[in-house]
Amino acid sequence: MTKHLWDRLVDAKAHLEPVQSKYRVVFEDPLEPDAPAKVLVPDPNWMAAALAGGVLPPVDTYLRDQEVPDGQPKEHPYTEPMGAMTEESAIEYLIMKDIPRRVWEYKGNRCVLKIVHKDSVPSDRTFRNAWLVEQGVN
Amino acid sequence: MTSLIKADNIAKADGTSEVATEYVTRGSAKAFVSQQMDGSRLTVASLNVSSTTDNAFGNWDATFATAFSSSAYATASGGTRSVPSTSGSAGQQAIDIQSASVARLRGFDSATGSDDWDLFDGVFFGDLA
Repeated sequence: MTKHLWDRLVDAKAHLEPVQSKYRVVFEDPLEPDAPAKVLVPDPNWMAAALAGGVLPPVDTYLRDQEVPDGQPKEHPYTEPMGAMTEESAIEYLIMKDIPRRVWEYKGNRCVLKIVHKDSVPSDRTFRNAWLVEQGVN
Repeated sequence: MTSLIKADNIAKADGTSEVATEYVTRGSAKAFVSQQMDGSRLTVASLNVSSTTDNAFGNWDATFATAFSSSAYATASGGTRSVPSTSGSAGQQAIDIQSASVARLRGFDSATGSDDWDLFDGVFFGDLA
């Protein structure tokens, strides 16, 4: 029987060195047009597990579990883990898992999501609540 | 070398205060995160967190790698902050549970409102999905 994901994460944390990702995901939520841009930071222990493989379930299990009401059995904890990912594919996985679908499926003219190098995110937070996703720059 | 202790109960050496092992395994924290709140957003310690999201000044989310069974779970927070020597203001924190897989952590300064703090810790207890 497949171990619970939490047990696999505990094992991974005990054996793997944390990996600080070189990427960040900057995004805006179309439902909150007045809110500043958000910045997703991958967790270093999670990233280590993603790069090692054998810990995390396929991302589609999480997407199906979003439709399961609280208190009902979820699919992702006991699904057979997938193999190793590259850092880039792990970021794509995280976008689908941790960012609302309405953001990564947004079809409007405005660019609402970008994967950027961590050094591209300002370290000065003085005007943090005015940050937006930069438009027109790839 | 991996070692495994299998026991249904744990007791003091004199045989008193016996509890079921399940109290320990089910009662331990199921997730925690400690993050530097400066521009680096460096996560210095964590368990069962897939990512953190910097939402705004003094406002961030922790998303769990494996979710709780429902939104009914317990939280605790702590951290450190630099207090301006002239104001002596008090720091406050709050954790708002968003769902079984996301908790929102917010820092405040009693004089200025939202505050990033320097280091922000969150701990989460409950039953997993």
